[in-house]
Amino acid sequence: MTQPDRATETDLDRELIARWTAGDERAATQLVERHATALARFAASLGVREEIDELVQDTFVRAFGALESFKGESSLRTWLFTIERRLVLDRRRSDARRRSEVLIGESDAATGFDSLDKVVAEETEQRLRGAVQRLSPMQRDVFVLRVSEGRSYKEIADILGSTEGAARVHYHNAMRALKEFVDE
Amino acid sequence: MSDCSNPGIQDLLPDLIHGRLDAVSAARVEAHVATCEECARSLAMLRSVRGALHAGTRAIPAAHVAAIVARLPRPSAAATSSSDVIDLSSAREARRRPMGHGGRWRVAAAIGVIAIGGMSVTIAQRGLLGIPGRAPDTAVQIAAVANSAASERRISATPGLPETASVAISDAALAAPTRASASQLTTPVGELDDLSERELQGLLDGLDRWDGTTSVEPSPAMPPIHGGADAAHR
Repeated sequence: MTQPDRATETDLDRELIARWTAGDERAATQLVERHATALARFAASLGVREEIDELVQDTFVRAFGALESFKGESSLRTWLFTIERRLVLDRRRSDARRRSEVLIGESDAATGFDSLDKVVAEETEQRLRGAVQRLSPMQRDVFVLRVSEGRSYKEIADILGSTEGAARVHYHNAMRALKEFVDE
Repeated sequence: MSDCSNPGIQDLLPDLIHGRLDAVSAARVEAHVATCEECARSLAMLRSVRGALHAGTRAIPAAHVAAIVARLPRPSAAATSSSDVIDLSSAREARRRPMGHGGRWRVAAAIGVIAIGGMSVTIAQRGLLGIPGRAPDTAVQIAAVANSAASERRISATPGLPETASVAISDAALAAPTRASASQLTTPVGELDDLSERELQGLLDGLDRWDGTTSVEPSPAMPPIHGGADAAHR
């Protein structure tokens, strides 16, 4: 997606928000469809393993309840990521049980009927996901937003409440650490 | 320590993967990657990690999307007219989506007010307050006429509910507002929660057109109030 395409996506989100505010329920469905999977993916990247669907739902409920405060200075997806990340942090603070989320791969085991190639591919993917989870929380969040979600350093800074410079540093540190994990 | 001769390229690799670079910048980065072993390794790792992170997440199913939308707080400035909120062409979809609690309370309150108001009118009309009036009417029934059998459409009840929970709504009654005395709308026997949004909206439309009087025969459940103008003095 080139920069002009990103602007088009932002315009589409703004149009859907305006239609929703005017009472068009179908606009809400389109907005949820556009961003729900990315939110689920981001949540999984943050280490959330349980009740991802509920987290995504809560994110949308919070966002739609505060649409009047969304000024459009960042993209809607950036704003949604911001909300979701705060919800994840709130969960971790209030529920020690969530620490089970750092256990990676228990549900990812291949079955005995999978082909060898598929097994190898899945194990590689599992290993890479595990490597990402071994990063420090800030490095992981920056890396995931940069590589998995394609956010700019400015957007990452907005989501994490940091600066572009700090985001850039965290990203490069994450890259260095990942290369070492992968080479182990 | 990076062995890359152009460290700035490392910053652009995620943008290349996501197609965020213009044609000139993308070509410049790709040309560098073709000659730099470290950047080529970094790009391959980034693509693999991105693929792994995406592969570990399933798409949100449509049913869950619908559940999310149903839970969303409604905008305060939403249009309230039925033509904007209810899409007749997607009545089945609207029927599956439950009306919020506010809508159901509105219907229940409206029916209750009509019931009380109807009884008041009935009492007044029967002269209990010294005012001569017509024959007693049931307070609960709201009449919506069916112009023809072909135009009348019965919306099937939600599976599992008794047939009496269904509501017959006349197309003519919905399309052409008339005096309520000319239309018949059977109130559902089931709980309001069992009604679809369209059915509830039909009740509200009927209530909106009700002029406060009815001309139907009293139902067996509510025997007519007998007495003449001087009944109050007996």
